[in-house]
Amino acid sequence: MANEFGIKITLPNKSENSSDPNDFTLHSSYNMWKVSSTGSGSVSVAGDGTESDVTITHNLGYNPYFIVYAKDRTTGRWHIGPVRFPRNDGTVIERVCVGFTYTDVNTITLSFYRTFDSIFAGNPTETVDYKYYLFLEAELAPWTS
Amino acid sequence: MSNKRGIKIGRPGLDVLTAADKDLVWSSEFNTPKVAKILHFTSTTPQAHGLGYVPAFIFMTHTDIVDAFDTEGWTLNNQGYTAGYVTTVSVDNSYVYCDYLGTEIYVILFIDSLDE
Repeated sequence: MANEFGIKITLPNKSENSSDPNDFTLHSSYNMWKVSSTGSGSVSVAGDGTESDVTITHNLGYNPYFIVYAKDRTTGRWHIGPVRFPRNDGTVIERVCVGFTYTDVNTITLSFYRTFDSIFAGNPTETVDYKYYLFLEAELAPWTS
Repeated sequence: MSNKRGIKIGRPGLDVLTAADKDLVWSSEFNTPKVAKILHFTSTTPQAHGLGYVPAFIFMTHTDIVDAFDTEGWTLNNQGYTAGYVTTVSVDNSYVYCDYLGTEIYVILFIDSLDE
C-alpha cells in the first residue's frame, strides 16, 4: 500500500475513494487558483487617443496569471480584457481599448485608450472603471485547441 | 512571534511550513475563485443569470469558422491580436450578453462581484 498523505473534500454524495478528481471540491493533489490581490479604480480616457496607464506593483518576482475587467459606462456592461468595446455591429464602432503588459516580473501595466482616433478625435474624455484579479499562479498559457 | 492562524495544504512532496505560497494547493490566506454558475450559449440572445450582482467571469468559445477573425477550435476569452480582442461576452447585474457567437460559448460566472 502506498504511503499516501493528503486532504480530500468530496462533493455531496460522492465517495472519498473516487479516482475522479471532478468528484472533489478540494483535493491536495490538484492545485487551486489563489488570488494574491485585487484592485479597482477609474481611469479617464482622452478622446484624442492618448493612452492612460495604470501601474500595478505586485512584487511577486515572476509573471502571475492576471485578469482585468473594464466597465463601459454607456451600457453598464463589464468586459474581460484584453478587450475593445462595444462590439462593432455596423452602426456602433469600438470606442475603448483595454490591455495589459507584464512590464517586468514585479509590475503589470494596464493601458486604456480610444480606438479609431481619427473618428473620435476631439470627443470628450471617457471614464472607464476597472477591476483586476492577480493570482499566485505563474505564467499560465492560454487554452487553445 | 506572530499570533497567526490558518490552514495550508501543500502539494504531495512539499513541506507546507517552507513551501512558497504559489506552490501550495490551498491556503486560508488567499481567496480562490468559486464558480456560481455556468451558462451555455448557442445563440446571441442574452441570458438572465439571476445572481443579483455583476459577476466576475471567464468564457470559452468554440467555432468552426476559419477566417481573418476566427480560429477553428476553442479559445479562452476574447480572441487575440488578429481578431483585435473585440468584446464577445459582457455582463451586468442581470444578464450575460453574447455579442458574437462562433458555434457555442460557455460562460463561467464566479461568486465575486465586479461592482463592489
